[in-house]
Amino acid sequence: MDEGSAALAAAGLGKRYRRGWALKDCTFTLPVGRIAALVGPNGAGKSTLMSLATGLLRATEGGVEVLGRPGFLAQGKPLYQGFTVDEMLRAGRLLNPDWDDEYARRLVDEARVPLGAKVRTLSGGQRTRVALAVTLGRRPEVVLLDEPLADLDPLARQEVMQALMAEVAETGTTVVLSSHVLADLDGICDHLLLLSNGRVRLAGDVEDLLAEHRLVVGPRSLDVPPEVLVERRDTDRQSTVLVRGWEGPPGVEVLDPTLEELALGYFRAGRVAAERGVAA
Amino acid sequence: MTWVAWRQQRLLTLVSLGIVAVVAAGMAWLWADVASVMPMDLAGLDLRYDEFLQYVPMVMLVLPVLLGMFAGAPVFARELEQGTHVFGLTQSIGRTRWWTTKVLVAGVPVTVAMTLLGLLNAKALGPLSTLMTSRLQTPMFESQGLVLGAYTAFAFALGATAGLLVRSTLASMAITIAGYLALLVVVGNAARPHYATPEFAPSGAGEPGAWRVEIGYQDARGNPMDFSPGECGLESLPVCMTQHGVAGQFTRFHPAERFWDFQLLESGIVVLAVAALLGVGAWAVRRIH
Repeated sequence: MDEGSAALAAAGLGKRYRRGWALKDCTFTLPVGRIAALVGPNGAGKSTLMSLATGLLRATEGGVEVLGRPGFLAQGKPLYQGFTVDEMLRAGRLLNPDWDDEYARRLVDEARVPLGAKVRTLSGGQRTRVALAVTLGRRPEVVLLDEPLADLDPLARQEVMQALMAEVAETGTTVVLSSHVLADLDGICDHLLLLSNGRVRLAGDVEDLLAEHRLVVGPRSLDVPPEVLVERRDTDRQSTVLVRGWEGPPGVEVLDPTLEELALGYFRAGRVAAERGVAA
Repeated sequence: MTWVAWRQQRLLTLVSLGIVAVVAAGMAWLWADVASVMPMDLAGLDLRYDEFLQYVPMVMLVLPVLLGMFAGAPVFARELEQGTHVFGLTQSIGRTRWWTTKVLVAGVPVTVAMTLLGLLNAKALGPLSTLMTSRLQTPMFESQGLVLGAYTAFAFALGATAGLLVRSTLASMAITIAGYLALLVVVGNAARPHYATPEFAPSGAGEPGAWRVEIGYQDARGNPMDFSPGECGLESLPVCMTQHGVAGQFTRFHPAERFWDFQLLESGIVVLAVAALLGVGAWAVRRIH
């Protein structure tokens, strides 16, 4: 695995359902070894993108290429309810010739999940750990996790993330993690893929993206060049503007945005653009 | 994949086979009991078995659709409802293999069990066939022989394929009932009378055990004619028939010996329907996500 090759690459990717386009003109490249946050409001196309990458869905146009056969943990962590944890691992082994049984069992062991327990009796955290073990047991080069933290309490979130990070740090696996809770991903992900209304609004290295963007707080009369403007919010007295590649005029307050501020700015801009699109 | 499919379906398959085994035990008892009292005259047999025999066609008609609903409909519908198909479809095995294994593991045991039950029924009911409506006719025809397995396979394939298409266990169960009843009615009434050319008899009565598919009136030269006893009003029927030129009745019927030929032919028709349903399923599994 040489640095710089793509773990996931989409070109002109689009998917249309009966109700309309869920994903359109998606083009991005995710380098190997990254931990990428796939963020977007509900209905932005995150799950659709993951389903396309795993081959569960067929693209309407364009295409997406994945390095090897991706490991996929779908939303809701589907596991056979009536199986025991042990049987779930057995299913993973029987369905995958390249299964690493020792590794998968170690992951379950570390989570202190009893092997004889039925899947339906597990807590949300345990369930997620078992699902992760079954997903990682195939030793995939790319792992796609769709909202893996959605139904967990804060403690379980932290434990799951720690376990996941420990594994990928050790193996160099590329991870794509979707969430609509940005706080979960801050400080963990080094790559960002931001979707809104079925389009990629932002893609790239988190540090680079944060370095390029500024929050400029100034008077309402503040004049912002349209080519740097991402999103502008006006109150009676002042304007808060998210800009890319602009340091603002002298005398205004210029702040470094957090990942959350950056993403929310793009979400709001995406929604405004979509509403304008519908109105027009 | 075979173990996974078996583990998923285990409970439903075992319960299904248990039900079939209980019914088979009842029919085996009948077979042994009939053999022990034979020879016996018709009236004696009727007295002894009449009540038991009333339930036989009821159970045999319900059993295939019951198995189709409970062993067939959930095979894919339950996975789609719970989202676990995503797990199956994102492992290293292909979709077609996933589908084929699940269909075979769930479908073959119930189909084989019901085929065996059908053959047992044919043995057990054989000596009693003169007590009941012709064994060529609904419901006795469907209660025994090869068609019991064929109809079970049909109900199973319908339930499984409907589950892939509508993604709901309850809806595919309803579709299974509707489709099974429709097939039963259409095949029994529209197709089966035409499996062979009926024999002709110049009388109103047929051979024992035969299936009379047409009874009509004929004139002195033996030609079928239109006549309805309702036309006679208050006259006495024989006088009225003579006035209308009716010389007597005729019957078209299928003799009882055609039973196994009809069984083979009908099983073939139903198996074709099963193949069509599975074809739709094999196509549908490539589209699910």
